[in-house]
Amino acid sequence: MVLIFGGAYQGKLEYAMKEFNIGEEQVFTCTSDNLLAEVGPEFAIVDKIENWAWELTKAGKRPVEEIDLEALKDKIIIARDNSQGIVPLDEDERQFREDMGRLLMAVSKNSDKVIRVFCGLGEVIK
Amino acid sequence: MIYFISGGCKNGKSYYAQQLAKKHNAGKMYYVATMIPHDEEDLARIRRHISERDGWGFETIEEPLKLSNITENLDGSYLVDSLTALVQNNMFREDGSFVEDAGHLVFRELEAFIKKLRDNGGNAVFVSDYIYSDAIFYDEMVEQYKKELAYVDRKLAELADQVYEVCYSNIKEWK
Repeated sequence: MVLIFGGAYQGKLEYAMKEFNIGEEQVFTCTSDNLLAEVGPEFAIVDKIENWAWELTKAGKRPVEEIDLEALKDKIIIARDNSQGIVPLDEDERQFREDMGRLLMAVSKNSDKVIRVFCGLGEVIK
Repeated sequence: MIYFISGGCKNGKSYYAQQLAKKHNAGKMYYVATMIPHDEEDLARIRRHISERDGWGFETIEEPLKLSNITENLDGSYLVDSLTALVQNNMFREDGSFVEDAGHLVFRELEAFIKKLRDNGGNAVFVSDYIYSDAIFYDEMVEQYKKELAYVDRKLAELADQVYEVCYSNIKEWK
């Protein structure tokens, strides 16, 4: 597993596709309407995992407990970093930030490689 | 040489940018002031910035919207602080209108400005703000602003010779 994270609009997906030579058809984009369990072997990248986590947060579930890391072990996971601002006032949003932190720690731990993207540039930090 | 600096706010970006501009100056140094003051707080910030630049040898050029207005002394050394303000001023206009693709507009101007500087032996330091890692859900207009500023950041990072992230006055070289 590879984790690529960075702030919003930093060009994470573009970086991943270029760096790992992956086409659009191999990108699974998480939305409010799909599940990580739907990610088949045809996909190499799981983009916007925060969207999947957000749905769980709103449903009162913990993403770190729901994720099947074994099923995703050969995937590149892309996540938006939301760890660096002030504490959100809204309870769900506050919980979401915590959930993302715990989720990405678990994903990091299980990743062979972790890359941070800043303004389109990548840095391997693990 | 074209330098791009970003990082969190109140981290020493402007100070480092001034040092870079001074160290690599090609002759005359110009500070491109981009802020349009709206209240006393803004005016106080501008006064503080002016006093911080005192004695550095910068000549101030007020240009809150269009870098293409700079047509002279393109062999000089420019400090543009900040892209954040340029995108903001171009997006949320003084007349109340909203320009959705302000970042694209700003980048086209930047690209042309950089080309002119490179052709004339000038150089520039551009400063932006890294505002992309918080957990707040914003309305569409603010989201669009973040998106457009990030577009300018990414494109400029690609174009720049050097890219630095400033973190509490520590410098990380990305490029």
